[in-house]
Amino acid sequence: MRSRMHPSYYLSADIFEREQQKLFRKLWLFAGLKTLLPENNCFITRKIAGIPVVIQNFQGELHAFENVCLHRSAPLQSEPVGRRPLVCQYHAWKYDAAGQVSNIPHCDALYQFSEPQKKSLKLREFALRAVGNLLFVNLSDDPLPLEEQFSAQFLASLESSSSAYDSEVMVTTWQCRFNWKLVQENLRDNNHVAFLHPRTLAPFVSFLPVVDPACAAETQEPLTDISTAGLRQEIRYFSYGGPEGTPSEYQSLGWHANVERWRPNTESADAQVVDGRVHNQPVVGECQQDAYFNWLAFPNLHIASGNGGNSFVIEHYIPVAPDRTDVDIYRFTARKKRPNPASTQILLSEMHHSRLILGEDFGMLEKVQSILHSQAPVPTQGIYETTNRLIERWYTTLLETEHGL
Amino acid sequence: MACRWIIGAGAALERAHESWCRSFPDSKIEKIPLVQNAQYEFDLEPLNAISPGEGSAFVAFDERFGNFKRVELMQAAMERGFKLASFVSPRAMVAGGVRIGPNAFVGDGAIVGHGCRIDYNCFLLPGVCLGSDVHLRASCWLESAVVVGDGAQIGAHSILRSGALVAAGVQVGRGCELGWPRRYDKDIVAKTVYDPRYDAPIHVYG
Repeated sequence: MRSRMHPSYYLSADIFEREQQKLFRKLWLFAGLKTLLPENNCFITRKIAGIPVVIQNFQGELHAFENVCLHRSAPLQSEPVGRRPLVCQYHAWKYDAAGQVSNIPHCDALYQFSEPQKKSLKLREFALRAVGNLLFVNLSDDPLPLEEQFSAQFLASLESSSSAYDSEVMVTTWQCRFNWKLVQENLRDNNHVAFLHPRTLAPFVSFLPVVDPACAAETQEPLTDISTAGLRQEIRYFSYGGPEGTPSEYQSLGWHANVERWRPNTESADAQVVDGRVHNQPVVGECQQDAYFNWLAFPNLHIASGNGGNSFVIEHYIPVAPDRTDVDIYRFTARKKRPNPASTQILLSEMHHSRLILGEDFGMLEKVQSILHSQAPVPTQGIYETTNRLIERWYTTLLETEHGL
Repeated sequence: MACRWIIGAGAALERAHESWCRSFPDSKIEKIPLVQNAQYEFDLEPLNAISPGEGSAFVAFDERFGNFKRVELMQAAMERGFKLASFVSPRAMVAGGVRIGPNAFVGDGAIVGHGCRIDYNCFLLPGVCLGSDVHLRASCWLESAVVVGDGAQIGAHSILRSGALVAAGVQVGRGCELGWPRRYDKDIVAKTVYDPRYDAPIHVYG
């Protein structure tokens, strides 16, 4: 089967900009962890779809604003994570929980704003939702309901697993030279594991691709309902999660005894089946608890637990340019039962393990990107690549028509 | 004659043993190699065969796991009644007013400026250069060709890799790893890791 993904989807600046407008500024996007905002005045800053965003804790209430002061366009918060009131460091304009300017030093003497002028000074606020410990932001003025983007099973699975996260979080960013879609396709193609990770992953866990001829046949047909409702209906199929890889042998490490290991419930196991479409063959039986868990939240979030819920990794793929993707990596264990002075070293070991495996993926994807050109052959896909084919059918329809989300 | 037991594993043990033997040829020095299992736990049985009162010990293990494995061995030795010595190479240049804690290692060619404080279990490999009044808190690991400027403070368990230059007066927090060969001229928050395999520093929150 021929892919619908012409090379220009990975190379063109125009298409990149269209993606930003039609996808990333319309969909709910991962924005950070609630565990990083535990107290009043705690904040995180991110650039989401090119827009600087600050999420700030106001007496326990979280709000997401454009991180730009209305006076001289300085960032209101400049660190990625921190704790200070929402006050611009340039001329000390202060903002409240509604995004309203609440104090301007020497306002009457130096600015002489009228009351209506002062009242009009309000930051642009973005829709913000917490799913367990995961924060999602939507940049649209009229955001689609979160429940339309993600299935109920998937949201339940995210909420259950993320509620087990510990508050100590290790974070870094890798700057990669490939288009963000290449890695999303790679994550939904578990047939590569045996070939690309023969020593690091394949000996320890096996993944079974799904072969579904009926669904594969469907992917040959064009998308029938290209209305906004139809496009929103289709998008729910692209996010799923649960016990995906069967471990060859569960390895218990000493520190596992010191964390409240997350255990999946029935809903978590079911989240790989969305409205009858099966994305992965879930692990069943006794070894399900020890499985390699994956959660893929379309468009650009991957969460995994490679040790049956003892620790987690979040990979957030941020498109920077057609051939550039920043990858924010978060590493944390399940909630600790008691403080451990060496806990950072556990996270660092896990981070290096991620680096090893993802380095193999990213190395290949950078090679793919490096030889792409506008006349390059369009990929030929097998029947097991149904999920990627469904996504590209939806994606090309969205980008090539006037219809939108 | 009192015995000096050099306890540990790997290259750090070999280096420490060789340094002690070469520097103190008339002393009775014995190497006690320990073995780790698949879970990285030490088999401490060889320590039980020694009478700690008949000498003193030096624990030599590398920076693995943020220097915590060396601390673990130190604690095991102390629990068994071993008195821990520090090693300062006769070929190091150590100025006056320097305080060095137990189980510290100052290798050949190291330069330690006036008024420095080197807390217990710090390892300075050959050629490390400390300015005046530097404070290395406990269980740090400084590789060859590390330079620390006057008055800088290095937090406990930190690792400074070859080529790291910490500017004068800079405070490096606890548990940092300065692995990028460059000049660090601003204070560094605890648990920040600069690893050459990564494009950006690794931070820890919470």
